Amino acid sequence: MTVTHPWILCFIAGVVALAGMAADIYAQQPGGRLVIAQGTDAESLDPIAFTASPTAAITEHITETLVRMEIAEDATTGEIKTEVRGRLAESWSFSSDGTALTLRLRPGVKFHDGTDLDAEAVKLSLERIMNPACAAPFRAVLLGRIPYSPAALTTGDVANKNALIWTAKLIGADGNAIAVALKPGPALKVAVTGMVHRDPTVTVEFAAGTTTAAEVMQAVNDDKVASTVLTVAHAKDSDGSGRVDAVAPTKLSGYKSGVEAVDAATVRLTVPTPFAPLLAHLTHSAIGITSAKRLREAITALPPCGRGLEDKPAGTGPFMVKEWKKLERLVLAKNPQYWDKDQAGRPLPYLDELEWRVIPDDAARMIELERGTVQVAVRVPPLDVPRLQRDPNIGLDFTTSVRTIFIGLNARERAPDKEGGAPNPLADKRVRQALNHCVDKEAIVKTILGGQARVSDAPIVPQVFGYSKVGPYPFDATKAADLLREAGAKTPLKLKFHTPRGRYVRDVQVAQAVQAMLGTCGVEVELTPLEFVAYLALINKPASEAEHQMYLLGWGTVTVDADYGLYSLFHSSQWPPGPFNRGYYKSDAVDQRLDEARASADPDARKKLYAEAQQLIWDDAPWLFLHSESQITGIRKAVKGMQVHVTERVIAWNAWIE
Amino acid sequence: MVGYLVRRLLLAIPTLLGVTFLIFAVVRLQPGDPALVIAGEAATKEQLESIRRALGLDRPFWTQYLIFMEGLMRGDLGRSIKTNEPVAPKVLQRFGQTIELTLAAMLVATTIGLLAGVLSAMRPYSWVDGLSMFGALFGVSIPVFWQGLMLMWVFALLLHQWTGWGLPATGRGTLWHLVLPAIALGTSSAAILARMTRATMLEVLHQEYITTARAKGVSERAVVYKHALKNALIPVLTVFGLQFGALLSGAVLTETVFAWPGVGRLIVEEGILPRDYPIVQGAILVVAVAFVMVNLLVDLLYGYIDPRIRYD
Repeated sequence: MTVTHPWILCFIAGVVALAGMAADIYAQQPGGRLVIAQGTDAESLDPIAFTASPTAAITEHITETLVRMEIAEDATTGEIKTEVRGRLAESWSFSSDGTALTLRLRPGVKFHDGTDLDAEAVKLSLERIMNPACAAPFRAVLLGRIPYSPAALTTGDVANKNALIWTAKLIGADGNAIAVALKPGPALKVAVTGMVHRDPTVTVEFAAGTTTAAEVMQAVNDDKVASTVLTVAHAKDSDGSGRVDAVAPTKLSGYKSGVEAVDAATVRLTVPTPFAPLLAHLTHSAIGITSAKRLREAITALPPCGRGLEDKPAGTGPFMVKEWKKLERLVLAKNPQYWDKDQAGRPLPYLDELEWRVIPDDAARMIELERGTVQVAVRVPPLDVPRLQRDPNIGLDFTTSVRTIFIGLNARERAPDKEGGAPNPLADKRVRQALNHCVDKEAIVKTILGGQARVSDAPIVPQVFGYSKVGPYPFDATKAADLLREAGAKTPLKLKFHTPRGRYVRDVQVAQAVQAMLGTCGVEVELTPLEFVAYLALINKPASEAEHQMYLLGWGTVTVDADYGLYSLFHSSQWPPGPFNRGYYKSDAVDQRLDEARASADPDARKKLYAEAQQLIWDDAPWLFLHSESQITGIRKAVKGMQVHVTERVIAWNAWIE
Repeated sequence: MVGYLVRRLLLAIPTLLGVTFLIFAVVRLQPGDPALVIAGEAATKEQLESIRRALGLDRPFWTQYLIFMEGLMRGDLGRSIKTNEPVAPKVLQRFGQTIELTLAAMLVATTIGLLAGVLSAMRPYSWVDGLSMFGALFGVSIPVFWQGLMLMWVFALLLHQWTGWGLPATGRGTLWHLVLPAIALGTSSAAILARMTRATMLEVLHQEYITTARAKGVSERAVVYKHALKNALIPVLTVFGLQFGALLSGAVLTETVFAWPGVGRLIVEEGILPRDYPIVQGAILVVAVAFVMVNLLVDLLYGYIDPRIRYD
């Protein structure tokens, strides 16, 4: 009898397993250039100056965030887990009352300009993003949550301290007079001249007034003030002598910035009231950290926001900018000092170069992919899927996107005065529900989108933290007719419907299908496709002037937290102009739950509140819920390790070419 | 001759003034707000207003126009609203790349157009004539983006799959990159030139001096190329000048399909879509100037080809 010792078995099993792992690990070949084709060029590589996801995909490789969002789908249960992981921050902790988040920075990280990652770089980067003068499109991710002190950015700019004219830097531009009562003179009044344009030679004058410093700071933190570069002209102290003692700009407010460098490797973010999604918000691609040295140089060149970062950023990312020929290509070279390693401890990234090529035409992009000139092509047209699937050299990735496509319904009580102020049929939730029942979403997905989309069963997608399945509205024309009758709607019900053209996958065709389907329920829709910028202007008006009734739009919950996907779209404080509740929806019950959920530190309590909110929203039907797009990405099979993130970014720092 | 040139140049001024005004007005008549583009969708009303003030967009239309014209007189096309870069160098660089494409397309158009036209005229109603005129009809009817994609599919993709070598499909770089976009862009002009050449050649070939030339024993080759073609060129040249404008405007589509970094894409992608008025104005103005100049050049060429045409 041969007795095999169990240890030997274990040993053999171990060797086999290790061999398997080794085979897997050593498959990665360093070197080479990967070419990714997108439809548009990067707008700017500066975190404060881009809006679109193709740009974010590129900047993610250059400038890194403090934390990142990891999304994993359990292969067996299908359950989706979203989890915040460290990136530039190694660890973090919330204070017990939930108002302070302390982040410990990863040691040994270097920026592309050779300087070390430290707390000052984080502070400068975050405050620059929050600075209203810089008009960062995504400043609302931080501003309004973290108190922002403009003075913190402007030390050293006090000119002529002892003269009548004192130049400080606090901006006001709410159109009204802003004056700041400055310490130490209790009665010191300062008239403030504001300028908004990034070119500091352009100034806009405001009439003098007597707002207090506290009010100005509040306005800044509420993002109501357009600029922080204010020239404070004309100061007068209490005894009327006209002499102002040296006033350091930090005394301007007496306010503490919400971003604090505790020591070189520790940053503390303070919020006035607990804000649970704070960590998720820090994963947003636009909250990238730039070298302090580079930031100071840029800001000196053009205060207060800086110049030169749009094409020469200095981040810590796996790739650095090598060459950018606008409208053609952006070439990134490997960052040899990149901090991250793979599981075998070898340096990342594997690739020597990463090229982003601009090919606006979908079909031309596919030809280049099929030929192999580019190895990755984003936004594969759904109708090209079957053909590309037959190509043995090409693999397709169907990662869902966090982008939800919907038709907003303007729910305000009456039409605007200039249109006669008639009662608005869409103010009745039964009418809105009827529209939802009348449209066959399955058919739209199947025929128009080639099956490459998912019918919405909630206002957000399953990948988002806090998602709860509350739908879909079944397609039921009889029910729709009943609801319309109950609501006493006159048929044919006439509605205006606006849609952007070319912004989302087959947007106009989807809108036309909805128009035709609504026609069968006695709803006559007048459809107007508009080009996106014109469209935005139309739907960004205050409720009293809004002309839009039905409007097709997409929303990407890019922080992958329900707050981002629900608060600005359904909270009644978020009506335009500016925020995104463009149907003027108002529900106290929903407001209450969204407010509570963002203040709660308990994830389970938050999930419950979001589930309730989504149920309420679903029943109220402020939208005609449609679908979420699949992002279809074509990847040559020789390319391994590419990741497609739900936030519509293709990620190449783990990629290699076989 | 010099007097004529000066007169023509002076006459170009009101044309270009009209062009500047039209561009300026049309750009501003479009719905959409550049301030919204700069400040982002989340901007407050106050922010938008201050941005408009800072950019001078709150001023009356005529004031804005005069400021623009004043800059123009100094050769200053303004700065981009979005990036604050000066417009002129950007536009000129892109325009150079469009001209590169346009000239290549002109070369394609004239070579194919003249050749097909002359061949057809020499043997009217033969199969050569039928084929080339059918080709011309086809070439003028075919939409440039569809033709572009077909060319790409056949000569970049299929050819590459069969032989391991294919023409580049998109982008700018080598001379090879010019081939497909130049053919796509030049086809419809080639078609028009072919028909025009055929018609004028046929007319010229029936003139008495051609009969005379043949009677005195001049070779057929010399008859066609020396006597007939040169006289048939005048109307062809006019069409050529006009086609140049058509090619410039056709470049927008061609550039998009072939990812060619020219002025057409600059106007659309960096100008019209983000409502960057100065870029749109500057680029269209440069294109308009080029068009006026090419037509002037064509008028001057008449005299060179036909010395009887005098410019007094």
